[in-house]
Amino acid sequence: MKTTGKSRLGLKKALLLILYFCGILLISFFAFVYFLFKSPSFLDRAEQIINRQSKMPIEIGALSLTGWGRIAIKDLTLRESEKGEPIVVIPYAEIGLSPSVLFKKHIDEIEIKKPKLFITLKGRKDGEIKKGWPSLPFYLKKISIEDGEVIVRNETGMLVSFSGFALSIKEMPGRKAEVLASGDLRAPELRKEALQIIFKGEYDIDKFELDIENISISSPLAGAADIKGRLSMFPFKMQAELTADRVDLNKVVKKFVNILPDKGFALQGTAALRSAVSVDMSEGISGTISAIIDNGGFSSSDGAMAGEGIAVNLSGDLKYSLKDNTTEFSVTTHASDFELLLGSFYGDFTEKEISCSVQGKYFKNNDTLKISASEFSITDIGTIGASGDIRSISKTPRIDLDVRLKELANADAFAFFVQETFQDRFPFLSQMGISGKTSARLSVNGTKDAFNIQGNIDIKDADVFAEKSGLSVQGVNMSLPLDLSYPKITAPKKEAERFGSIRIRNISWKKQQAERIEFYPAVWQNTLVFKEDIQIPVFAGNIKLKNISYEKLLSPDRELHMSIDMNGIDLEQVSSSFNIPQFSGSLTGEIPSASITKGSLLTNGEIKIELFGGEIRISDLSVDSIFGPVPSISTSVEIKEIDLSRLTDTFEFGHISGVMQGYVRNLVIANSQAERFEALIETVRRKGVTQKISVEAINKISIMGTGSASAILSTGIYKLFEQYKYAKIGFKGKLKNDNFLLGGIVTEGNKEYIVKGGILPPKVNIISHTRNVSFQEMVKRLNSIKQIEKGEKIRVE
Amino acid sequence: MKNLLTRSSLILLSLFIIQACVTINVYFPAAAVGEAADTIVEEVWGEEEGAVPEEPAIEGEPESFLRPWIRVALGVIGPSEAYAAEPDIKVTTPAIRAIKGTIADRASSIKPYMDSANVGIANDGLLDIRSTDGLNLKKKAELKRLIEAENKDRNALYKEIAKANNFPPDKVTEIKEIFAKSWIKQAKSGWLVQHPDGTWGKKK
Repeated sequence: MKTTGKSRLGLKKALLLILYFCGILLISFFAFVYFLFKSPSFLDRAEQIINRQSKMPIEIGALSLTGWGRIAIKDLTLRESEKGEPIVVIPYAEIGLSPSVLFKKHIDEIEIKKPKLFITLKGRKDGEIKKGWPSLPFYLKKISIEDGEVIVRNETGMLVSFSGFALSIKEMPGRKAEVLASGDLRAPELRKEALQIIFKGEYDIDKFELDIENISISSPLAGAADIKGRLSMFPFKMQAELTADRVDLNKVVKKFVNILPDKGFALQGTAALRSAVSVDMSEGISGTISAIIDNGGFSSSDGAMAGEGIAVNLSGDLKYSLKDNTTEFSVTTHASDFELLLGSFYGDFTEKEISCSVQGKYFKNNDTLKISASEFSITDIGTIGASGDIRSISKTPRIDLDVRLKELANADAFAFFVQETFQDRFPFLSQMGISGKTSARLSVNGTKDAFNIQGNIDIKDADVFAEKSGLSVQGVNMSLPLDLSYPKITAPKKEAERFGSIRIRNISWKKQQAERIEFYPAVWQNTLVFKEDIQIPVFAGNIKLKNISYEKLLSPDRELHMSIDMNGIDLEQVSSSFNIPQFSGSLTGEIPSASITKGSLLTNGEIKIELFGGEIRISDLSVDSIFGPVPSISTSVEIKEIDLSRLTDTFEFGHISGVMQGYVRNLVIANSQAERFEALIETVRRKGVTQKISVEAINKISIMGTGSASAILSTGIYKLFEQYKYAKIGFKGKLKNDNFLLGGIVTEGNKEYIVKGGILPPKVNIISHTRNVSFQEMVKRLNSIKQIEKGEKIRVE
Repeated sequence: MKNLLTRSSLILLSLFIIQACVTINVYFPAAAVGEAADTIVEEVWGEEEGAVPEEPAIEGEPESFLRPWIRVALGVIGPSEAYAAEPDIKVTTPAIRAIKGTIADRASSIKPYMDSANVGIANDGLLDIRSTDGLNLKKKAELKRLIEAENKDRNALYKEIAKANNFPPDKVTEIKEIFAKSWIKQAKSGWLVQHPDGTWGKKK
């Protein structure tokens, strides 16, 4: 068929008409769409549709077309309820769609910029987790979020937030989706520190499972960590493994964990962490953690506490139950190869290992930690274990614990913790040793400011010895009940309900032996008391300690009260034991009250020593600064009817016959030297007692009294006499501030006689000329007694 | 006339009473304590430390330094102020000797720490750990124990000196300050010392 020119023209016109018509239609469509999008009623309609789909109120600020198949949404706000707080705020989003698939509810892409997402976690009382997934009413190929902010909070406040949050979920072949996310994570626990997180994973659309290829966490302070794992949505489950090889302990703990005592406290070392976490919303969160710290350490700001070279191996299990909000845990730690400084204590743990294990459960709802078992042990020393509850642990911890000390090796514990640390202050410790085992079972209740300890301490087969003094206590077995309250007792005072026992097989000291000693102590209401008097057989007699009461044991003002009876102590044995010239006699004493308060011992009563045919009475005995560097003993001594023959023969002073009496009052002895006294010693004439003095004694007295011995007694006629008669021997003396004011016992004119000779010749007088004798001079004179040939100041009449 | 006599008598009595009044100013004998401090410091921390010499004999009556001035006061014939002369200071008692001996024995252990500026002499007469740089933990503990023991002895020494001289307890602080000056005066060049204003520096 042929077409004519007219018909071709008609076809052209028709086509142009169609095109024109189509153009008008298209323009009209776009105009319609444009005006539709501009129309408030369309916005309302769109909001209603989304409301219906999401069941949440939504507000949209504006809709517009930004290009072919791209719709821009401005100021979208989604709320949980009409008047509720916004849960999603999107300032700008674009939806890309193809008109061809629009009616199939397919959307190619959603781009969201700077959204804010508020997620509020609410506890569910029934413990059930809401099942299901907020399904989209359309098919989405790709969604991306740029520079968003996600805030996760609960009823009490913000838990975590993401800033700079970026997310990209893109459909991949095989019903998978690639998920990429990144952002800076912040949480109150992180104290302004941001963790940079980059997430890469793949989502299985059909299985609702997220395969976490890698979550890279990095922080300028804490270093880097990687997490791998799997997360499934229905039901929600997650397994993840965390790896961090070089965690800077100081930075991490200072920033994230509020456990350091002060700002200047520093930690050293790095930790390698491995952790596996499993989350199952129907059960909870469980995980394991292991940490290895190499060359760790710590130091306080003042340097008083420090640890160096610490190698720690920690492993633990943790299980958090969503159902009852509890966390069950089990942690074991071993530390070794380190040195420790705690004040003046230094511990070398290079040969020792510290092991610590704790199993327990934390109940968040009542802030209580229940420790089912815990142990702390040091190689060769012992183990201490504890179990019980710590309530209000995050505020004011209140403990209710059973503490058990298991077979502490006394020797090692004493050497390691006590001897070196305290021997500068208490030098006797350096000579001391102790053996045996100590165990204890104690119940500790209260807070750190007020607590009570009850229980028992047991010592088995202990020996105690002090090399220097020669004291040896063997076979000590003790069971001591304890009842201590800090800072003071609040319960009404009452008698001790229970007593323990101390059994000693043998005590030896200075050739003395005492066997099978037993007494019954108790620490009751902060006081050490004994059921019965303590009898110590010693030097053929005994010392009885009565009514012992050591009060306020936990206070610096602790007080010891007792009374003491001493009976039949044989001085011959005493002198033999102390390697002094032997003499016989006995010692008895009754001290009705002896008390140590504020570092001073005060007594009343007196000690009577019967010796050399007479007696010495010691009264007003006290010791000042008993725990100070130089304790000083104060006392007064009365001397009666001492047989000088026996006295001088015993101490090889020469020979003096006669009877002596006198006193030494206000005697103060410090550093084994007399510091102060007032004395009067004199001979008294007794019927039938001759009064004679040997030349040796004369010389020694003259040295003591005058500074030198007499040469004249070894010359001329005096050589014929070995002893002289005397009328009186004695002196009055006063020592103070190292000055000895010496006066004779007989005064005639300006002469003071220390030895006044008899009436008939030959006689000898010793006259005191130098009244003031300094300490230096007295030392010199005592040294000179061994060289009695010297001396020219003795005047013999 | 009788009134006049009475009045005159009263005036004379008043004058007598006024003339018989005396104000006794008892001052702390800082100079004497200073001399004593110099002696003790020289003995315990001098070149031959560790060998505390025997005490020199102390001259004079071993009684309170106040006594001569009480006599002066009683003998005065008019209102006047009496000033206590510098008395002898007792620095030798068994307790003081014991403490000095301990301090002297410890000196050789402490001096290396002074040389290395770990320890300084504080202006309260005690030692102060200024730094533990260069010390391992064992040495740090040893140093702490040494300084604690030393300061305990020094405090005891100052108290004993006050006690021996019948100074009231509140004078111990002054004794400590006086001793601080002696310790600092006799410190080696380069040792850390605390200045009166509390700052620390090396002794030149």
